[in-house]
Amino acid sequence: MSEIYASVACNLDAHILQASLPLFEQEKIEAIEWSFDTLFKFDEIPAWFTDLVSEFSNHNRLIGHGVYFSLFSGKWSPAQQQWLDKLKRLSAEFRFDHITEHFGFMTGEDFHKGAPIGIPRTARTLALGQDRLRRIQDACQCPVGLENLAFSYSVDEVKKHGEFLDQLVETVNGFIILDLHNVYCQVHNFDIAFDDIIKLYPLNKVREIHISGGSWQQTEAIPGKSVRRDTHDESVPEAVFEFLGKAIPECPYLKFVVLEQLGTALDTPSSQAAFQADFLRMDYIIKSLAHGYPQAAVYPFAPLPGLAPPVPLEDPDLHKQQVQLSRILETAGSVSEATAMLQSSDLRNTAWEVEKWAPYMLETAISIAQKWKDGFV
Amino acid sequence: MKISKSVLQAVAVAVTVAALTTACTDNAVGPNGEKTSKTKTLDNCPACGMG
Repeated sequence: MSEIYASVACNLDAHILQASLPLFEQEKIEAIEWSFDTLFKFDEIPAWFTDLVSEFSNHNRLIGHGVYFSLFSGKWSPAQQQWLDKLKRLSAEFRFDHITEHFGFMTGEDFHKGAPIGIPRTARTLALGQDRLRRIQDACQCPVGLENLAFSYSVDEVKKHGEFLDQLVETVNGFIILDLHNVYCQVHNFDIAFDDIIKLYPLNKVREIHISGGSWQQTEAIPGKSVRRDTHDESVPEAVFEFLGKAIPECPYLKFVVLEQLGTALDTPSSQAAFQADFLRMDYIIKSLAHGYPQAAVYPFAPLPGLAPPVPLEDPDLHKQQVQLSRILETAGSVSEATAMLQSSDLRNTAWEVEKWAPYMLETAISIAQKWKDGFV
Repeated sequence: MKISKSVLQAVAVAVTVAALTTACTDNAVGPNGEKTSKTKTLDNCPACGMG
Protein backbone atom coordinates (compact mmCIF):
# COMPACT_ATOMS: atom_id res chain seq x y z
CA MET A 1 0.00 0.00 0.00
CA SER A 2 1.42 3.35 -1.02
CA GLU A 3 1.14 6.51 1.06
CA ILE A 4 -2.44 7.63 1.60
CA TYR A 5 -3.24 11.32 1.72
CA ALA A 6 -5.91 12.71 4.03
CA SER A 7 -7.79 15.14 1.80
CA VAL A 8 -10.75 17.51 1.68
CA ALA A 9 -13.13 18.45 -1.10
CA CYS A 10 -12.12 22.08 -1.39
CA ASN A 11 -13.96 24.51 -3.62
CA LEU A 12 -14.45 28.25 -3.92
CA ASP A 13 -16.85 28.43 -1.00
CA ALA A 14 -16.36 30.65 2.03
CA HIS A 15 -17.70 28.18 4.58
CA ILE A 16 -15.70 25.21 3.29
CA LEU A 17 -12.56 27.34 3.35
CA GLN A 18 -13.36 28.68 6.83
CA ALA A 19 -13.82 25.15 8.12
CA SER A 20 -10.63 23.96 6.42
CA LEU A 21 -8.40 26.89 7.31
CA PRO A 22 -7.32 25.63 10.76
CA LEU A 23 -6.51 22.25 9.20
CA PHE A 24 -4.46 23.97 6.49
CA GLU A 25 -2.61 25.95 9.16
CA GLN A 26 -1.84 22.78 11.12
CA GLU A 27 -0.55 21.13 7.90
CA LYS A 28 -3.07 18.33 8.37
CA ILE A 29 -4.56 18.49 4.89
CA GLU A 30 -2.33 16.48 2.59
CA ALA A 31 -4.25 16.93 -0.68
CA ILE A 32 -7.33 18.68 -2.04
CA GLU A 33 -10.01 17.57 -4.42
CA TRP A 34 -11.28 20.43 -6.59
CA SER A 35 -14.53 20.28 -8.57
CA PHE A 36 -13.05 22.33 -11.37
CA ASP A 37 -16.23 22.47 -13.46
CA THR A 38 -18.32 24.24 -10.84
CA LEU A 39 -16.59 27.49 -11.66
CA PHE A 40 -19.08 28.31 -14.41
CA LYS A 41 -20.90 30.30 -11.74
CA PHE A 42 -18.01 32.72 -11.36
CA ASP A 43 -17.02 35.60 -13.61
CA GLU A 44 -13.50 35.56 -12.27
CA ILE A 45 -11.49 33.19 -10.10
CA PRO A 46 -9.71 35.10 -7.31
CA ALA A 47 -5.94 34.91 -7.43
CA TRP A 48 -5.69 33.73 -3.82
CA PHE A 49 -7.80 30.66 -4.65
CA THR A 50 -5.71 29.92 -7.74
CA ASP A 51 -2.63 30.25 -5.51
CA LEU A 52 -4.07 27.78 -3.03
CA VAL A 53 -4.83 25.26 -5.79
CA SER A 54 -1.36 25.82 -7.24
CA GLU A 55 0.29 25.00 -3.91
CA PHE A 56 -1.24 21.53 -3.99
CA SER A 57 -0.68 21.18 -7.73
CA ASN A 58 3.02 21.95 -7.29
CA HIS A 59 3.31 19.18 -4.71
CA ASN A 60 1.40 16.61 -6.80
CA ARG A 61 -1.41 16.75 -4.26
CA LEU A 62 -4.24 18.06 -6.44
CA ILE A 63 -7.04 15.87 -7.79
CA GLY A 64 -9.94 16.99 -9.98
CA HIS A 65 -13.54 15.85 -9.56
CA GLY A 66 -16.02 16.65 -12.35
CA VAL A 67 -19.69 17.21 -11.68
CA TYR A 68 -21.43 18.12 -14.93
CA PHE A 69 -20.00 16.04 -17.78
CA SER A 70 -22.97 13.61 -17.76
CA LEU A 71 -20.98 10.60 -18.85
CA PHE A 72 -23.89 8.49 -20.10
CA SER A 73 -26.00 11.02 -21.98
CA GLY A 74 -26.99 9.24 -25.18
CA LYS A 75 -26.56 12.40 -27.23
CA TRP A 76 -23.24 14.22 -27.45
CA SER A 77 -23.63 17.91 -26.63
CA PRO A 78 -21.55 21.01 -27.38
CA ALA A 79 -21.43 21.61 -23.63
CA GLN A 80 -19.62 18.30 -23.19
CA GLN A 81 -17.01 19.37 -25.74
CA GLN A 82 -16.64 22.71 -23.93
CA TRP A 83 -16.19 20.77 -20.69
CA LEU A 84 -13.37 18.77 -22.26
CA ASP A 85 -11.78 21.90 -23.72
CA LYS A 86 -11.83 23.52 -20.30
CA LEU A 87 -10.35 20.43 -18.69
CA LYS A 88 -7.56 20.46 -21.26
CA ARG A 89 -6.77 24.11 -20.47
CA LEU A 90 -6.84 23.53 -16.72
CA SER A 91 -4.66 20.44 -17.08
CA ALA A 92 -2.06 22.62 -18.77
CA GLU A 93 -2.26 25.14 -15.92
CA PHE A 94 -2.38 22.70 -12.98
CA ARG A 95 -1.00 19.24 -12.45
CA PHE A 96 -3.89 16.96 -11.56
CA ASP A 97 -2.79 13.67 -10.07
CA HIS A 98 -6.00 12.24 -11.47
CA ILE A 99 -9.42 13.27 -12.78
CA THR A 100 -12.73 11.67 -11.84
CA GLU A 101 -16.38 11.91 -12.79
CA HIS A 102 -19.65 10.38 -11.65
CA PHE A 103 -21.49 7.36 -12.93
CA GLY A 104 -24.87 8.06 -14.55
CA PHE A 105 -26.46 10.78 -16.64
CA MET A 106 -27.81 14.16 -15.66
CA THR A 107 -31.54 14.72 -15.99
CA GLY A 108 -32.57 18.09 -17.36
CA GLU A 109 -32.00 19.79 -20.68
CA ASP A 110 -29.60 22.43 -19.39
CA PHE A 111 -26.00 21.30 -18.86
CA HIS A 112 -25.95 22.72 -15.35
CA LYS A 113 -29.41 21.67 -14.27
CA GLY A 114 -30.68 18.24 -13.32
CA ALA A 115 -29.64 15.34 -11.12
CA PRO A 116 -27.46 12.30 -11.65
CA ILE A 117 -29.47 9.16 -12.31
CA GLY A 118 -28.35 5.63 -13.16
CA ILE A 119 -28.56 3.94 -16.54
CA PRO A 120 -29.09 0.34 -17.63
CA ARG A 121 -26.01 -1.86 -17.85
CA THR A 122 -25.81 -2.99 -21.47
CA ALA A 123 -23.16 -3.42 -24.14
CA ARG A 124 -24.30 -0.13 -25.68
CA THR A 125 -24.07 1.88 -22.48
CA LEU A 126 -20.73 0.26 -21.75
CA ALA A 127 -19.43 1.40 -25.14
CA LEU A 128 -20.83 4.89 -24.58
CA GLY A 129 -19.20 5.24 -21.18
CA GLN A 130 -15.89 3.95 -22.49
CA ASP A 131 -15.98 6.48 -25.33
CA ARG A 132 -16.51 9.32 -22.87
CA LEU A 133 -13.76 8.14 -20.52
CA ARG A 134 -11.31 8.04 -23.43
CA ARG A 135 -12.17 11.66 -24.25
CA ILE A 136 -11.64 12.72 -20.65
CA GLN A 137 -8.27 10.99 -20.56
CA ASP A 138 -7.25 12.54 -23.88
CA ALA A 139 -8.05 15.95 -22.41
CA CYS A 140 -6.31 15.57 -19.05
CA GLN A 141 -3.49 13.12 -19.88
CA CYS A 142 -3.55 11.65 -16.40
CA PRO A 143 -5.27 8.73 -14.66
CA VAL A 144 -9.07 8.79 -14.94
CA GLY A 145 -11.62 7.30 -12.59
CA LEU A 146 -15.34 6.92 -11.90
CA GLU A 147 -17.26 7.20 -8.63
CA ASN A 148 -19.87 4.68 -7.55
CA LEU A 149 -23.39 6.13 -7.54
CA ALA A 150 -25.42 6.29 -4.34
CA PHE A 151 -28.72 5.97 -6.11
CA SER A 152 -30.05 2.63 -7.35
CA TYR A 153 -33.55 1.65 -8.44
CA SER A 154 -33.21 -1.96 -7.37
CA VAL A 155 -31.06 -4.37 -5.43
CA ASP A 156 -30.05 -6.01 -8.72
CA GLU A 157 -28.49 -2.72 -9.79
CA VAL A 158 -26.59 -2.49 -6.54
CA LYS A 159 -25.12 -5.95 -7.06
CA LYS A 160 -24.01 -5.22 -10.65
CA HIS A 161 -22.58 -1.76 -10.05
CA GLY A 162 -19.01 -2.69 -9.08
CA GLU A 163 -18.51 -5.04 -12.00
CA PHE A 164 -19.86 -2.49 -14.46
CA LEU A 165 -17.53 0.21 -13.10
CA ASP A 166 -14.66 -2.25 -13.51
CA GLN A 167 -15.52 -2.84 -17.17
CA LEU A 168 -15.91 0.89 -17.83
CA VAL A 169 -12.57 2.02 -16.46
CA GLU A 170 -10.72 -0.91 -18.01
CA THR A 171 -10.67 0.91 -21.33
CA VAL A 172 -8.53 3.76 -19.94
CA ASN A 173 -6.56 1.69 -17.47
CA GLY A 174 -8.59 3.65 -14.97
CA PHE A 175 -9.64 3.36 -11.35
CA ILE A 176 -12.69 3.89 -9.17
CA ILE A 177 -13.63 6.17 -6.32
CA LEU A 178 -15.25 4.14 -3.61
CA ASP A 179 -17.68 6.53 -1.94
CA LEU A 180 -18.37 4.90 1.39
CA HIS A 181 -21.36 7.08 2.19
CA ASN A 182 -22.88 6.01 -1.11
CA VAL A 183 -22.33 2.41 -0.02
CA TYR A 184 -23.88 3.31 3.34
CA CYS A 185 -26.97 4.53 1.45
CA GLN A 186 -27.23 1.18 -0.33
CA VAL A 187 -26.64 -0.81 2.85
CA HIS A 188 -29.61 0.93 4.42
CA ASN A 189 -31.89 1.36 1.41
CA PHE A 190 -31.62 -2.26 0.27
CA ASP A 191 -30.88 -3.95 3.59
CA ILE A 192 -27.59 -5.49 2.48
CA ALA A 193 -24.54 -6.03 4.66
CA PHE A 194 -21.51 -3.84 3.96
CA ASP A 195 -19.29 -6.91 3.75
CA ASP A 196 -21.52 -8.35 1.04
CA ILE A 197 -21.55 -5.16 -1.05
CA ILE A 198 -17.89 -4.35 -0.78
CA LYS A 199 -16.74 -7.68 -2.18
CA LEU A 200 -18.68 -6.87 -5.35
CA TYR A 201 -16.37 -3.91 -6.08
CA PRO A 202 -12.95 -4.19 -7.77
CA LEU A 203 -11.04 -3.11 -4.68
CA ASN A 204 -7.71 -3.46 -6.48
CA LYS A 205 -8.86 -0.52 -8.62
CA VAL A 206 -9.74 1.84 -5.78
CA ARG A 207 -7.44 4.84 -5.86
CA GLU A 208 -9.68 7.19 -3.90
CA ILE A 209 -12.24 6.88 -1.12
CA HIS A 210 -14.89 9.44 -0.22
CA ILE A 211 -16.55 9.81 3.14
CA SER A 212 -19.34 12.23 3.97
CA GLY A 213 -22.67 12.61 5.73
CA GLY A 214 -26.23 12.69 4.49
CA SER A 215 -29.86 12.76 5.49
CA TRP A 216 -32.97 10.62 5.90
CA GLN A 217 -36.16 10.92 3.86
CA GLN A 218 -39.42 9.33 4.93
CA THR A 219 -41.17 7.60 2.05
CA GLU A 220 -44.86 7.42 1.29
CA ALA A 221 -44.39 4.22 -0.70
CA ILE A 222 -43.59 2.22 2.45
CA PRO A 223 -44.85 3.98 5.59
CA GLY A 224 -42.23 3.92 8.31
CA LYS A 225 -39.33 3.28 5.95
CA SER A 226 -36.66 5.92 5.58
CA VAL A 227 -34.36 6.33 2.59
CA ARG A 228 -30.78 7.41 3.11
CA ARG A 229 -29.72 10.21 0.77
CA ASP A 230 -26.24 11.40 -0.04
CA THR A 231 -26.84 15.06 0.66
CA HIS A 232 -23.44 15.89 2.18
CA ASP A 233 -25.04 18.15 4.77
CA GLU A 234 -24.21 16.39 8.02
CA SER A 235 -21.24 14.95 9.84
CA VAL A 236 -19.88 11.55 8.93
CA PRO A 237 -21.93 8.73 10.52
CA GLU A 238 -20.18 6.32 12.84
CA ALA A 239 -20.88 3.44 10.45
CA VAL A 240 -19.04 5.19 7.61
CA PHE A 241 -15.93 5.54 9.78
CA GLU A 242 -16.21 1.82 10.51
CA PHE A 243 -16.50 1.13 6.78
CA LEU A 244 -13.36 3.20 6.21
CA GLY A 245 -11.44 1.08 8.70
CA LYS A 246 -12.59 -2.07 6.91
CA ALA A 247 -12.00 -0.78 3.38
CA ILE A 248 -8.48 0.66 3.65
CA PRO A 249 -6.71 -2.68 4.14
CA GLU A 250 -8.61 -4.09 1.14
CA CYS A 251 -7.52 -1.37 -1.30
CA PRO A 252 -3.82 -1.84 -2.13
CA TYR A 253 -3.61 1.12 -4.50
CA LEU A 254 -5.53 3.62 -2.39
CA LYS A 255 -3.89 7.05 -2.53
CA PHE A 256 -6.48 9.65 -1.45
CA VAL A 257 -9.22 9.63 1.19
CA VAL A 258 -11.44 12.68 0.82
CA LEU A 259 -13.83 14.24 3.35
CA GLU A 260 -16.75 15.90 1.57
CA GLN A 261 -19.23 18.34 3.06
CA LEU A 262 -21.24 21.16 1.59
CA GLY A 263 -20.49 24.76 2.43
CA THR A 264 -24.16 25.33 3.22
CA ALA A 265 -23.81 22.85 6.07
CA LEU A 266 -20.69 24.52 7.46
CA ASP A 267 -22.12 27.92 8.33
CA THR A 268 -21.80 27.76 12.12
CA PRO A 269 -18.78 27.44 14.41
CA SER A 270 -20.12 24.14 15.75
CA SER A 271 -20.58 22.61 12.30
CA GLN A 272 -17.09 23.74 11.32
CA ALA A 273 -15.67 22.21 14.50
CA ALA A 274 -17.50 18.97 13.73
CA PHE A 275 -16.02 18.99 10.22
CA GLN A 276 -12.53 19.42 11.65
CA ALA A 277 -13.14 16.60 14.14
CA ASP A 278 -14.34 14.34 11.32
CA PHE A 279 -11.19 15.14 9.33
CA LEU A 280 -8.87 14.40 12.25
CA ARG A 281 -10.64 11.12 12.93
CA MET A 282 -10.36 10.20 9.24
CA ASP A 283 -6.67 11.09 9.33
CA TYR A 284 -6.16 8.95 12.45
CA ILE A 285 -7.81 5.93 10.84
CA ILE A 286 -5.68 6.35 7.71
CA LYS A 287 -2.45 6.71 9.62
CA SER A 288 -3.21 3.82 11.95
CA LEU A 289 -3.91 1.46 9.05
CA ALA A 290 -1.72 2.62 6.18
CA HIS A 291 1.55 1.70 7.79
CA GLY A 292 0.53 -1.83 8.63
CA TYR A 293 0.54 -3.01 5.04
CA PRO A 294 3.28 -3.44 2.44
CA GLN A 295 3.94 -0.73 -0.13
CA ALA A 296 2.40 -1.36 -3.56
CA ALA A 297 5.30 -1.92 -5.92
CA VAL A 298 3.60 -0.98 -9.18
CA TYR A 299 1.79 2.17 -10.27
CA PRO A 300 -1.19 0.66 -12.06
CA PHE A 301 -3.27 3.50 -13.48
CA ALA A 302 -0.98 5.19 -16.01
CA PRO A 303 -2.97 6.90 -18.80
CA LEU A 304 -3.15 5.30 -22.21
CA PRO A 305 -2.25 7.55 -25.15
CA GLY A 306 -4.47 8.73 -28.02
CA LEU A 307 -7.57 6.67 -27.49
CA ALA A 308 -10.68 8.56 -28.53
CA PRO A 309 -12.02 8.26 -32.10
CA PRO A 310 -12.77 11.58 -33.86
CA VAL A 311 -16.57 11.32 -33.71
CA PRO A 312 -18.18 10.84 -30.29
CA LEU A 313 -20.33 7.76 -29.98
CA GLU A 314 -24.04 8.42 -29.66
CA ASP A 315 -27.06 6.27 -28.85
CA PRO A 316 -30.26 7.93 -30.12
CA ASP A 317 -32.51 5.31 -28.52
CA LEU A 318 -30.91 5.82 -25.14
CA HIS A 319 -31.18 9.59 -25.56
CA LYS A 320 -34.89 9.31 -26.33
CA GLN A 321 -35.40 7.14 -23.25
CA GLN A 322 -33.42 9.55 -21.08
CA VAL A 323 -35.50 12.50 -22.26
CA GLN A 324 -38.68 10.61 -21.44
CA LEU A 325 -37.40 9.48 -18.05
CA SER A 326 -36.24 12.97 -17.14
CA ARG A 327 -39.64 14.38 -18.05
CA ILE A 328 -41.45 11.72 -16.02
CA LEU A 329 -39.28 12.23 -12.93
CA GLU A 330 -39.48 16.00 -13.14
CA THR A 331 -43.25 16.20 -13.62
CA ALA A 332 -44.86 13.21 -11.92
CA GLY A 333 -47.00 14.12 -8.94
CA SER A 334 -46.79 10.71 -7.31
CA VAL A 335 -45.18 7.29 -7.56
CA SER A 336 -48.33 5.81 -9.07
CA GLU A 337 -48.46 8.53 -11.70
CA ALA A 338 -44.77 8.00 -12.52
CA THR A 339 -45.30 4.24 -12.74
CA ALA A 340 -48.17 4.70 -15.19
CA MET A 341 -46.10 7.11 -17.28
CA LEU A 342 -43.18 4.66 -17.34
CA GLN A 343 -45.47 1.87 -18.49
CA SER A 344 -46.58 3.93 -21.46
CA SER A 345 -43.03 5.09 -22.29
CA ASP A 346 -40.25 3.64 -24.40
CA LEU A 347 -38.58 2.40 -21.21
CA ARG A 348 -41.18 -0.32 -20.74
CA ASN A 349 -39.87 -3.87 -21.23
CA THR A 350 -36.32 -2.68 -21.90
CA ALA A 351 -32.95 -3.02 -20.21
CA TRP A 352 -34.03 -0.24 -17.84
CA GLU A 353 -36.16 -2.92 -16.14
CA VAL A 354 -38.58 -0.31 -14.82
CA GLU A 355 -40.84 -3.17 -13.79
CA LYS A 356 -38.30 -4.06 -11.06
CA TRP A 357 -37.81 -0.58 -9.66
CA ALA A 358 -38.51 -0.35 -5.93
CA PRO A 359 -41.40 2.12 -5.47
CA TYR A 360 -39.67 3.91 -2.59
CA MET A 361 -36.59 4.45 -4.76
CA LEU A 362 -38.73 5.72 -7.64
CA GLU A 363 -40.20 8.15 -5.12
CA THR A 364 -36.66 9.16 -4.18
CA ALA A 365 -35.69 9.62 -7.84
CA ILE A 366 -38.70 11.91 -8.30
CA SER A 367 -37.60 13.95 -5.26
CA ILE A 368 -34.06 14.24 -6.55
CA ALA A 369 -35.04 15.16 -10.11
CA GLN A 370 -37.59 17.75 -9.01
CA LYS A 371 -35.15 19.22 -6.52
CA TRP A 372 -32.51 19.80 -9.16
CA LYS A 373 -34.49 20.50 -12.33
CA ASP A 374 -33.81 24.23 -12.00
CA GLY A 375 -30.19 23.81 -10.96
CA PHE A 376 -28.72 26.00 -8.24
CA VAL A 377 -31.52 28.48 -7.50
CA MET B 1 1.14 19.52 3.69
CA LYS B 2 2.86 22.81 4.37
CA ILE B 3 1.33 25.78 2.58
CA SER B 4 3.17 29.06 2.25
CA LYS B 5 2.24 31.66 4.84
CA SER B 6 1.35 34.29 2.24
CA VAL B 7 -1.21 31.99 0.57
CA LEU B 8 -2.76 31.06 3.91
CA GLN B 9 -2.97 34.70 4.93
CA ALA B 10 -4.68 35.59 1.67
CA VAL B 11 -7.21 32.79 2.13
CA ALA B 12 -7.82 33.86 5.73
CA VAL B 13 -8.44 37.47 4.73
CA ALA B 14 -10.74 36.46 1.89
CA VAL B 15 -12.95 34.16 3.93
CA THR B 16 -13.02 36.57 6.86
CA VAL B 17 -14.21 39.39 4.64
CA ALA B 18 -16.76 37.05 3.09
CA ALA B 19 -17.98 35.91 6.52
CA LEU B 20 -18.42 39.50 7.68
CA THR B 21 -20.54 40.40 4.67
CA THR B 22 -23.63 39.13 6.41
CA ALA B 23 -26.07 41.17 4.38
CA CYS B 24 -25.40 38.84 1.48
CA THR B 25 -26.61 35.25 1.66
CA ASP B 26 -24.22 34.15 -1.05
CA ASN B 27 -21.42 31.76 -0.11
CA ALA B 28 -19.16 32.44 -3.06
CA VAL B 29 -16.11 34.62 -2.60
CA GLY B 30 -15.15 37.26 -5.14
CA PRO B 31 -11.76 38.35 -6.46
CA ASN B 32 -11.04 40.63 -3.53
CA GLY B 33 -12.69 38.55 -0.87
CA GLU B 34 -16.11 40.13 -1.36
CA LYS B 35 -19.22 38.06 -1.86
CA THR B 36 -20.10 37.77 -5.50
CA SER B 37 -23.44 38.90 -6.86
CA LYS B 38 -23.59 36.55 -9.83
CA THR B 39 -23.49 33.31 -7.93
CA LYS B 40 -26.67 31.73 -6.60
CA THR B 41 -26.68 30.32 -3.10
CA LEU B 42 -24.85 27.01 -3.16
CA ASP B 43 -27.12 24.16 -2.18
CA ASN B 44 -26.61 20.46 -1.84
CA CYS B 45 -24.26 19.11 -4.45
CA PRO B 46 -26.19 17.60 -7.37
CA ALA B 47 -23.30 15.29 -8.15
CA CYS B 48 -23.86 13.20 -5.09
CA GLY B 49 -26.42 10.85 -6.57
CA MET B 50 -28.85 11.00 -3.71
CA GLY B 51 -28.63 14.72 -3.15
